[in-house]
Amino acid sequence: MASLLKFPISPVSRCLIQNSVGVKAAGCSSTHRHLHLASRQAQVKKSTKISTSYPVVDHEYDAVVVGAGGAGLRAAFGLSEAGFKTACVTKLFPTRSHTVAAQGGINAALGNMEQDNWKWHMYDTVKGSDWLGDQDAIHYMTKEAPAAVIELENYGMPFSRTNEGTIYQRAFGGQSLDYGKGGQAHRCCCVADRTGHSLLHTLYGRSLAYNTDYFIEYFAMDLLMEEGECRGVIAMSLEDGTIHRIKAKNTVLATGGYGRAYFSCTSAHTCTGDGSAMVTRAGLPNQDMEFVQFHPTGIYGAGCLITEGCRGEGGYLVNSEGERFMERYAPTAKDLASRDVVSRSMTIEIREGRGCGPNKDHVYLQLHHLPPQQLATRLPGISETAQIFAGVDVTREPIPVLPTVHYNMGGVPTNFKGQVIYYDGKSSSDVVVPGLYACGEAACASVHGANRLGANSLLDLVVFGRACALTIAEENKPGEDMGEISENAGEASIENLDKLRYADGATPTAELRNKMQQVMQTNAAVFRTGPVLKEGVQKIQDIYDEMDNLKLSDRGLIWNSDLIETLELQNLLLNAAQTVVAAERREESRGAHAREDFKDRCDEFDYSKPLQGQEALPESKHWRKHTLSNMSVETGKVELNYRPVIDSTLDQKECKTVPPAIRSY
Amino acid sequence: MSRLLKYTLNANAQKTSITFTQRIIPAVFYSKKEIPAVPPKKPNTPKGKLDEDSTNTSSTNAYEPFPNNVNPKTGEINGPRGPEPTRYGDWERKGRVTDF
Repeated sequence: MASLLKFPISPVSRCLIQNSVGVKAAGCSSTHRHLHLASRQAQVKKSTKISTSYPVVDHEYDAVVVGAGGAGLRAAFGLSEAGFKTACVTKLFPTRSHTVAAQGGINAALGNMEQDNWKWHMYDTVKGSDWLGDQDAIHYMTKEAPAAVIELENYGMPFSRTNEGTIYQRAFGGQSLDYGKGGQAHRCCCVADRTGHSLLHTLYGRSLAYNTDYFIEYFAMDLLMEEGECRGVIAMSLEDGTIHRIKAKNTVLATGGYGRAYFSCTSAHTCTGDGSAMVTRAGLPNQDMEFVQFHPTGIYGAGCLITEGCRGEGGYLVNSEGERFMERYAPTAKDLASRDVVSRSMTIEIREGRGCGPNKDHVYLQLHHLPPQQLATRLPGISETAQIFAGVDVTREPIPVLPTVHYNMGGVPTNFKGQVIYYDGKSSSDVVVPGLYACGEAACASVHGANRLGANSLLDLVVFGRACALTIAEENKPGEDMGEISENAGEASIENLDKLRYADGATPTAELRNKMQQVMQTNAAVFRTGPVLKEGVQKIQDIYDEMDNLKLSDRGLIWNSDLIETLELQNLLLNAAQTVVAAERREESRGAHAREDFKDRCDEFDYSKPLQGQEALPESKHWRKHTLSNMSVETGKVELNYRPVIDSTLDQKECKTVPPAIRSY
Repeated sequence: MSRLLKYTLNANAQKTSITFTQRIIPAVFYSKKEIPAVPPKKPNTPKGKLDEDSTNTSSTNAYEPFPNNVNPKTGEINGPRGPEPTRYGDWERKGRVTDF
């Protein structure tokens, strides 16, 4: 094939050379796409200095994006569009990323249904985050929202329309007009009921128009850090077990959340927090790991969430004794109490031994006392859901449910531009890690703060995916020189891989993973108090030590899912340990982190009283600050530091800081 | 119709370049009369012992489409079918919540 290029093509008979491999020949029009393999032949170099038993291939790019979900694809083609030679490393095919499961919409203050203003959206988001969100990042996101949605629509995303042809917006999730005083706002744009699916397919289709090199089904193992800079990633091909070092001046992490650290979660099996674990192994901190968003009624075993509307229509929760237990916890509201009250009540019932099922680890949602006609009209499709996911006939049996993880607010700390930062306590400032960026659920910008509002997550993906690409384009040029990586960079990852591949201890990976998930579900879920969390910290430490005693059965390199699941378990454990330790230390209740022993929010002032005459508490005494967690990979010990919340917006004249207040809806 | 591909090979040493017109003959050659009206169809994957009966391809669609895809109550075009997904404060479809 390469020899074909040696024959010069006569300019007279200019033609399309059609052979089985589309090689781009000089003089031909560039309508031919490089085939996956052919284009890489020229660039790759085999490296033998690092490992002789594992073939290592080196690649060089201007930028590499890890993860191809909503944020990853947006960053990847944003970079390709700007002219950078971009690689996108993903362990799944892009359209299989978990973004595809997001059905809700995207919030944007387009003002199609009524007069709207992005500053109101900004206020709502700051309030939703319980004043833990960085207001400059929120300012950036809500200001860019209309442009981002219109850009998606121009890419071909088929939003639903009003009669006039503008995008239809509906009311959703804590959005209000006029800084909370003007009633419900209609800001949520959607594509029928498959916004995430459509977003992902639109972005993927769009990205194929650019020259991004996709490394599909390559598991990124570690970042290549040199002199405090990130210079690429090392990844393993799932297909043939070859190791690839992708050297790039800019690395963008868009790997998603770590829902799978819990027993019951809505995330796919592939949501294992790879990005945040890679950052931990590189010695950098993760931010706000204790903030995990739960939903009270997720189907046991399946992880699908059942709507609160079931309880609204008359359904109620029962424990193993058949008692309608919510009457004890919330005498007036009963089953219609707020989500966190319901989640906590369910967990308390389970802890006290009144759970249902053989393991007594869930409760029942009873709907069979309602007339079937009413169920069918008010909640069409619920019988199908219950049959498929729970295997029950909703008109005769109750649905097993338990509190389920849905979203991780925590992740890799970044500034509003998408650059990864760490906090220097001495100079009290954020320091940018050169060459490393993060966006999406993996990052913590932090726009969601202590609690994420509905329909803001898809917005976060596209805005910050684009922000990373823009920042990189601003500060770098395509084809720029970059620092070298040492000959044996990534050696530790390969050693780890080899150690795991031949691990012959006692515990199979699946068993250890299940143990970790059970511990997280019992000790670091909704019900958090001092003793429970301390027990969780200790148990997770024990499980972490048990990682040395794993047993793998598959020694091969080709599609070794045992090995990959073990690597993912390592990543999950890093995330789980940081979550539980951070939760144990935070002694207040804020947003999604609710503690029984510290029920109030602890800010620098007591905002329930007038501020005059109050003295501000020093930072060590209040909790309106971000948690930064570092972890030692050898010992499993987590070290916590804190970083102040950024209250100043990008432009105080344009959008003033929202002063903290008591959050009530 | 078979494809005609022109390659102009400039042989290394020879000055006289020979132009070949190669006819690539596809594996199956149809003359005009023989082109089947209905293209040949691959047979279905054989059913395994443990496979469920997959002949019933219609899933129970709990949601009827709106006339002309326009929601009669809100006027939304190409919106989600069935009752309003956000009526309980979360995004609900068939009893399942995906956003809240």
